[in-house]
Amino acid sequence: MSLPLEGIKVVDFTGVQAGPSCTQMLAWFGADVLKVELPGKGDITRSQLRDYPDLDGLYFTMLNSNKKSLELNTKTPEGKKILEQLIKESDIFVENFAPGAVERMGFGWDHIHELNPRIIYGTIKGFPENSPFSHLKVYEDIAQCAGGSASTTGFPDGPPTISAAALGDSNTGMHLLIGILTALIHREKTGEGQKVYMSMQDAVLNLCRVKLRDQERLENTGVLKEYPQYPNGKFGDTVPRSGNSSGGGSAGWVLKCKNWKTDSNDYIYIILQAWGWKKLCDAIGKPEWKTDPAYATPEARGKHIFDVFDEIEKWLSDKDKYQAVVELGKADVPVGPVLSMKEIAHDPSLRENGSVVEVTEEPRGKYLTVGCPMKFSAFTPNITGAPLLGANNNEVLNHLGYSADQIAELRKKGVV
Amino acid sequence: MSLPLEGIKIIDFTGVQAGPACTQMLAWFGADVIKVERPGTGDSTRHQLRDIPDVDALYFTMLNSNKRSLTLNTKTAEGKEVLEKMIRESDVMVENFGPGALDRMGFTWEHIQKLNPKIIFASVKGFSEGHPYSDIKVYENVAQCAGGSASTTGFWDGPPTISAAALGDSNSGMHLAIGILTALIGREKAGKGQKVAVSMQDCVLNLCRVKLRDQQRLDRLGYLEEYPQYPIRADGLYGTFSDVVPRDGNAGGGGQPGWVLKCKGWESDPNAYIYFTIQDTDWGPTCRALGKQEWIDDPTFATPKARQPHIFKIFDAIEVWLADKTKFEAVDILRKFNIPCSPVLSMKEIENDPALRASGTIVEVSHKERGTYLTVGSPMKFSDFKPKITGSPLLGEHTDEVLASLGYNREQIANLHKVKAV
Repeated sequence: MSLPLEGIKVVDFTGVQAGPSCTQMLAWFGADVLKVELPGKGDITRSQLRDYPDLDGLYFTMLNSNKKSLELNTKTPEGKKILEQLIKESDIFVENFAPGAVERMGFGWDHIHELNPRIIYGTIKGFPENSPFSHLKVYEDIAQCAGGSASTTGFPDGPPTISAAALGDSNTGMHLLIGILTALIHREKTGEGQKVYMSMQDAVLNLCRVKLRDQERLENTGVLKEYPQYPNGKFGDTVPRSGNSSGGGSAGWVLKCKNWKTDSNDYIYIILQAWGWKKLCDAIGKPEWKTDPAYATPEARGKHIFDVFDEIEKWLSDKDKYQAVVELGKADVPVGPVLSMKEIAHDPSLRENGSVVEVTEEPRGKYLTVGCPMKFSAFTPNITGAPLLGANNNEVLNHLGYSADQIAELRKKGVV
Repeated sequence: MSLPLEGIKIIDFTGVQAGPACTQMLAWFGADVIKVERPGTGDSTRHQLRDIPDVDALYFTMLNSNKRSLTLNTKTAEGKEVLEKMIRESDVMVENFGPGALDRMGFTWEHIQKLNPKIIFASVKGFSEGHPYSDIKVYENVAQCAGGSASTTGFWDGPPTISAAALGDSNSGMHLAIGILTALIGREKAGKGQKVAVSMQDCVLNLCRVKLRDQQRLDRLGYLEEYPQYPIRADGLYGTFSDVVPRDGNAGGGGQPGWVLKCKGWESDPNAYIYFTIQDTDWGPTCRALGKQEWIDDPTFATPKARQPHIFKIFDAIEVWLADKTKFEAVDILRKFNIPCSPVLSMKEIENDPALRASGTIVEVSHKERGTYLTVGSPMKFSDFKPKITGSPLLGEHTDEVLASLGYNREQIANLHKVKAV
């Protein structure tokens, strides 16, 4: 089984989450990814939020599988030279340092492009270039606040709310990956590499596209009829937080099931579609709603939609989320259980299709990771462990032509 | 300026958001994307949530720019023939119909592959093939509940919470774009196409990777040191730990405590807040910025471990400092002290942000019937090309043009209209 990116060499000069999520996926698709790390320390996530005192944290292992590790002190002349040698023979260079850091090290786009005109240079920053905020150091939650997600997530009477999904980190890594793959295809035509710049603010906003839609609708019409603020509340001049409403054309909400008081995830999501209404009424034992003018149409229901949800919760009060999903599913109601991370970790079907993968890695042993979300008919990524710090020092230096003596010398000087 | 995907032909057999977000981006990068739509009605988002009567809704225009539109009734024999001709000469076909719908139309992967072994067939579904829920019709929020996001978003004393970001829709579209581009590169070597499938559940989960990390840490240790639930309090004010990853409100998550804090005017402006991060490495400057020099060496504040038990008292003190500053004033002061922070920007502020216009993140586009509107442009910025974003097509705007390019003459085209195949 040949992999699509076999033969592509990547210098992975990234840390923490956004960059590593991008290069990890490149590695899954067959690229030869070399992670360049600070000697003795490595990626900070090796030591953050550890579950075993002396082992690389899961934060590291779940974002750096299938890669090789080289320790390199790029502040020494020897280290700089080695990095230049690697750049000359690679196809892709990825970095996500704080603004200006990689340029201060001497490895900005201009220099790298000069060293290797065919190389693709992928870079992640918090804000777009030339933004008044572009020199700010940005973390996940900050990107969510700057990209429109926090202002529109949460409840109308509560604060802006952060999403658990890594909109600023992994999501930005996925966007950069789209950019890098596109640039690889472009190189086939032009013969040259290019720089791909990805900001976290932009990546968050790209997933909040429909909220910009709603901002324009609000300005044009003054109301957003599918929001819980309609018809009984008030709209301001910006898109409000809409709690758990569905956002599409049909009303939806997160509803409590039997054990919600003790189980923080015994809830379902339900959508009340206009065309499935009669079947829904039968399923929940409310056949009278089919003809009752206060319930029969989406407009009529919309006026007291939370009473409708309350009634459905009464029906749910003796069913857990799984029973509810089966019964409502039979009536073609779009519905889903709120799955906890524990349920996801142990879901047999997610294991079977490779969405959750068990990896064995010494010395840690077995652990779970999120596998490749895309399923290809021609290949299945084989997900291996993450490298120990400097695991490939000798191999990489050998390949670059350094002798055993020279490698020992580099070690002594603290270059590797 | 040549575009990377020039010469790539894409059949866009998608609707609503997940599929269209993917094909729109491929169109920006130069692919020739033909949107195949039902005659008379087209993509349902043309009509949904309209702001101007009788004009394609923003829902449609913001997800279908740079495409051409062909109306086609694939239930007629003539319509099927047109689609088969298109498959023979295209590089990619993308669909996001309900489970099994395309098979019932007669366009199984086996059949498509037979028509064109080089084609890449890409598909978005709610759940993966073989999943026990794979027959369920999945919308955005159902995917967020199934993918682990809802269970971990929100506050410990509140319900599972939906994210405003389209984790199920646009995010799945972006994952599918990664798959398609990878398959295009693979085709150069292998000489043949393949099928790429993503499920919305998987794509949500891929962004919740660190929550699976936390589940395994919790399994092993019984607590998560950076969550507001820690250290465990007798009164349970900030929730408790059980055997599943809890909802951690607005916590920083990555080992740097942070929270959404109120600024001047929060009582009347729902977005008068900033995100404030307490970086261990910058504790001194943080104290100086807040005028709390006495905290710098105070043993109850000096280390992250010492701070965690009363982290909310620290946030309260910062809110007192913020009480007479707007979010923009606060950020302008804090940035000088290297404190990671940001104003919570409203969609209105984002819409009118000159920097986002300058970078091409927010783009003004003109449309034949609606005039100009704003859309979210390409988030990736390339040094060799800049996607030029045009308006979305009217329903069937390119039907005759596409048919002519497939070799149909004027008479045949008229006939296809007459039998309502297009």
